[in-house]
Amino acid sequence: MRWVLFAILVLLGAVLEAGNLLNAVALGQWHIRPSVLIVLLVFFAVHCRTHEAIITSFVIGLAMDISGSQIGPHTISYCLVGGLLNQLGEYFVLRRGASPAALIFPAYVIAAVIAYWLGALKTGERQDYAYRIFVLTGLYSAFIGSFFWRFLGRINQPASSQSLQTSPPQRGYLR
Amino acid sequence: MARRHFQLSNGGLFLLLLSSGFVLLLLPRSVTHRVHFLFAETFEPLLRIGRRFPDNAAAPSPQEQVVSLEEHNTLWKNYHNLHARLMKLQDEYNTAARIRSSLPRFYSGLVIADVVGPAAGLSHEILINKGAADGVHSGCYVMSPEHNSIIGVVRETSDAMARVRLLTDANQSIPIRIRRDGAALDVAAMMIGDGKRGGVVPMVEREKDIRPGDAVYAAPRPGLLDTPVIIGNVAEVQPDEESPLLWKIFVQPIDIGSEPETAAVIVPDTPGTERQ
Repeated sequence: MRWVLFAILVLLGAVLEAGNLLNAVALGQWHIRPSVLIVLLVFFAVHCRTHEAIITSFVIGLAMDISGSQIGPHTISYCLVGGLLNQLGEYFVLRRGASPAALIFPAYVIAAVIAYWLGALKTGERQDYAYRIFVLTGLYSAFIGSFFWRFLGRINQPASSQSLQTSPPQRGYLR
Repeated sequence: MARRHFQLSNGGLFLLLLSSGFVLLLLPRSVTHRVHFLFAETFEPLLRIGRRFPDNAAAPSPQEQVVSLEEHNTLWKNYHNLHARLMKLQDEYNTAARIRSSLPRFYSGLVIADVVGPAAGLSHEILINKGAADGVHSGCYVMSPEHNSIIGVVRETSDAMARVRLLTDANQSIPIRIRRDGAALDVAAMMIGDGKRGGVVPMVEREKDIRPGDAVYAAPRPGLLDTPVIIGNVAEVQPDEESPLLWKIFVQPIDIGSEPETAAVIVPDTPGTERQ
């Protein structure tokens, strides 16, 4: 695992999430923007060893929170979703050429809904159109993520090749 | 001496980090918002990238870069005419400013700020580059200098930055007044953002004669807003489905676009302080 490269990618993702650059590709009246960090989460959760996947999920969730407006909800939800993805990693058809979009979309929606509930629990604030926005953002992220995925695979070659050598018993932390 | 290695199992690591997440969640917002502002202040130049996208990004073709001599002379004359008009307007502005300074203040004080962060995602919020050091504090009203209307309320501040929640946010409510030109209509109510691009005013009695097109003002609040300031206008008036005796009014705020460039924070002056 190249931790420096990971840190740079997460920082870049957080800046993109909090910055204005993604506004250039925002869509519709809800100003839907793709989520870069969810692509990172899914990529590292699938391609890393279990303990690395747990740490990367936590860090990416924390980065998502820092770039947003509350600390905690995404840290927890990304930890859970990243852990789940890593556990199920060996069953994914992803490595056999299926589109990563099929993984990014549900991962985003589940993580966003959990984070939304946790945030609402803490602040009591709710949004009427939250679930529609989650679905649309998930679709958009999945679409963008398909292109981003190959780029990530290339620059993080050791991590992605390492995962193929990882035997299933090393991957499960709940076993 | 034997060195002891503390090895955490994957399950233990997962539970430890998950617990840390819950601890972070339980921390009070007054503590965690400093982290947000620290991040925004540190990476402010990077966050600003993409702030301004030109309307027409395409470079002009070589044919468009060259004009005929006749057209050049016309443009040159127009330029001088415009420049002369600008100088006259500047004189008028200076005169008006002198007059204004001798009158009672309309706004207590205005702090002009650049918008740093976007109004995107679930919450309709923007980050501005002025904070507590400039007198901005939570609760202050924020105006759009271009449209001269209230667009949001400061939610929290650091020394150098502030987070503004726009009026369209579903969790933002603001006291308003609905008025009509040439009529004695003046209805006090609360407006709540609809989470999209407008606001909703519930709980207004149906005996009030409110019509589409009526002006909606932010109501004056002691210490925050001295006089009513326009927010938008009434877009639609419908009977409330849950309470037939009440109106449900839809408000269309002044359209500031998805990316406001600047914001003016109304900062009440405290006695004995002088703002620049």
